[in-house]
Amino acid sequence: MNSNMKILIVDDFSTMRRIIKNLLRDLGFNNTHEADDGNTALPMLKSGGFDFLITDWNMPGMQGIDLLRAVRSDPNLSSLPVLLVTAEARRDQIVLAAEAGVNGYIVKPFTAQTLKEKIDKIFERIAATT
Amino acid sequence: MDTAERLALARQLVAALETGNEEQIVHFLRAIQDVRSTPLIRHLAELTRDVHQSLLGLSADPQLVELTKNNMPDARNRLSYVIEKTEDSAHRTLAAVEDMMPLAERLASGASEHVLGGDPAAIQAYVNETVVTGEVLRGGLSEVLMAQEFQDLTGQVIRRTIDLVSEVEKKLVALITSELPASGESVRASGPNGVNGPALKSDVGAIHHQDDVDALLAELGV
Repeated sequence: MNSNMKILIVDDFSTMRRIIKNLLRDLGFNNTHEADDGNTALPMLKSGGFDFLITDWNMPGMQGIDLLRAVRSDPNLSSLPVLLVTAEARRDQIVLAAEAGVNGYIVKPFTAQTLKEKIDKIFERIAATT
Repeated sequence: MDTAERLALARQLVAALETGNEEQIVHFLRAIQDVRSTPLIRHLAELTRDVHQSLLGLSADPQLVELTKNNMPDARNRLSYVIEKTEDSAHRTLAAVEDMMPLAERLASGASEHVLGGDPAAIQAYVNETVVTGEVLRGGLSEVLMAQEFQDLTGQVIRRTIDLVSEVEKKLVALITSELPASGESVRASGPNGVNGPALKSDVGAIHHQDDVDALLAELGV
């Protein structure tokens, strides 16, 4: 896992973006960028260079699940690893996210340890399949 | 009733009084009273009918029934969650600060005591302690950081409650102006766009632990 990878954090609450940004810095990832919903995030992703997307689900404008679908349907972004970090915790929603091609799913409130484990797992899997 | 009719009525009353015909006196007095009270009675009747129709509308409107029966208690639960979450966050932050404060004080006092004292062994011991204390402080600051997640979670809940209050306000205004729609899209318990916000302990169908989320994802091959 490249500690200099470019990560986009998408959440409508700036406090949560700061929390995730700080946790990522603690884990050694300093190349982080922020967006407050899918509509802002998508053009940033399309402009290129991102290695990892961490997104909330429930946001005004474009929701996280729609951002995930947009990413998967874009040939240039389709293989981008996506981690959902969300308060949405219904079984049917997790199934929906899995079907849309999510790589990891963290339910808020979460711990720093959980974030680390999920990121490790996502990149271990990617390393194993490439 | 025009002026001529009123005048005629008054004259008839005077005539009845002069002849002392009790039956006619009562009759004309009542007729004069009716002239004043008819618009008032009509107005009262209209008001009664409006209230009646509004009450009928109140029980017939599925959206209002849903708001009262389900969404209001749901909002109460969610606001209690906000209190719980903010209280928990305040305690977590305060506990971390209380743990870190004496450590920070010891770092400061140790520096002046040992480093300025100049004893090499004491300085070495102080440096060793600083390494350990630094790690503990880092852990405490991480805890303060994570405790701020309440703002996102409670913010989502409060937003939904604001939506609900606006909806109730709209319905009540519609009732007052008697333009209550027969039916309408009801406020969904799951909120707009199929999102639910943070899961409460009472939420059936919600998964409450990350371990269970992981198990479900593993079943789905993620």
